[in-house]
Amino acid sequence: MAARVRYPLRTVVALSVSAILSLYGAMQFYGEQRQQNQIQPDPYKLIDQERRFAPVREIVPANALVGYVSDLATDPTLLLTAQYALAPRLVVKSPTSDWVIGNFARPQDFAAYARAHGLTLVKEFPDGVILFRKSK
Amino acid sequence: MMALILTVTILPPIVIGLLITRTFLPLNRPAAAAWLLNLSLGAGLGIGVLSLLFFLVRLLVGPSNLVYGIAEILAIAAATTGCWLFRDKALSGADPRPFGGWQWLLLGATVVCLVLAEAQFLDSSAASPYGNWDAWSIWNLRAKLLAQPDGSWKNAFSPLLNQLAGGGATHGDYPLLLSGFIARCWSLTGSIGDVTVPIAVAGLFALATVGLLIGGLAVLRGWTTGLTAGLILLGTRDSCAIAIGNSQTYRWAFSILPRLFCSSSSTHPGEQGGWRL
Repeated sequence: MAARVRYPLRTVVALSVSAILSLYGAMQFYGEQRQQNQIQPDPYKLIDQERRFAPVREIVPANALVGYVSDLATDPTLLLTAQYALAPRLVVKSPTSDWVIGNFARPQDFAAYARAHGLTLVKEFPDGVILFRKSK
Repeated sequence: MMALILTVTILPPIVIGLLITRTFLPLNRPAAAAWLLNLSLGAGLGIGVLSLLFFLVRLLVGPSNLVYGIAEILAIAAATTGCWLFRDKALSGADPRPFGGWQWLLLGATVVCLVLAEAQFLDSSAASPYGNWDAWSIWNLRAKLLAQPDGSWKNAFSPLLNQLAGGGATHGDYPLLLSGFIARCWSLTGSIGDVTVPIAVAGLFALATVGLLIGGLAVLRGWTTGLTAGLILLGTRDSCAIAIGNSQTYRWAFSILPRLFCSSSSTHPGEQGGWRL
């Protein structure tokens, strides 16, 4: 067995400072992160998106290509969260597919919206989720 | 159900990875550091092997859990046999210096930081179970598609995924390591989309990276260096944030570390031979 090595004092001091700073950093970040988690849980609202699109998943077949329409500006976050919630169905940015989902922020006459866009209203779900089909 | 998911997610990659690392790595010293190194390296290696196996079975046979289960059992049996017959029995490294004195303080500080990091990880996982942008929009979305029990698993490679957020936004060219492994766990447990699996994989990768850093440096340079490095990693704000976000960055760091250790080990003065990796 090798003999125990005695480190120079400055090495011991440097390592002690590193250890204290690391502990301080870990404790400080723990507090900050807890606060952040309370202020802004689930920043992309995926829990809500999963809940909103759950009834659509029960109707639209798993292998379907799903169009997407919205009254909101085209936002990659909204599109991608809808895609995540609807997977394995693939979402495309146009209303040309057989199935089309609507993601609306404001209430309106969705039957009229459907007629104006060559669609047929299938069902209105809560929270602005609307299911359409392409008109034959 | 939670216990089943965690067992399927964590145990097999550790077992198969540990067998592989034990086969190819010599008996490094200190023994405890070598175990930590083998275990940590093995966890990531096992995830890679099983992810690759899952993809190959999907590609060659189709989405069959029975065939994949048999293939995984055969892979573990082959790794066990290989380890039994061909494991490296050579001793590597000088006699370790005795662990003691103020090294216990370093160990204590590391454990405290680890506990704090774990608490942050669990708290953040509860608050944001889907992780950060990359986690859900790239890795877990692709995993969700790969895990499908029918032909739609090939949608994981559809170019349509890229038109949602601009060309290349879901990065179809990224490796399948994480997505493939998460898909494997979801497929085996029948829980596609359950957030427990990606959270467990993120935690496993983060822990394995810390273990790899501490164990690898302890083997190369002694416990003081290993524990100090682990302490600094755990005490760094961004390292915890990255682990919490289920990000791929830990996987990247995990894959870089062994290469650094290998190059260091092969040039380390007084060392008899490098690691055979």
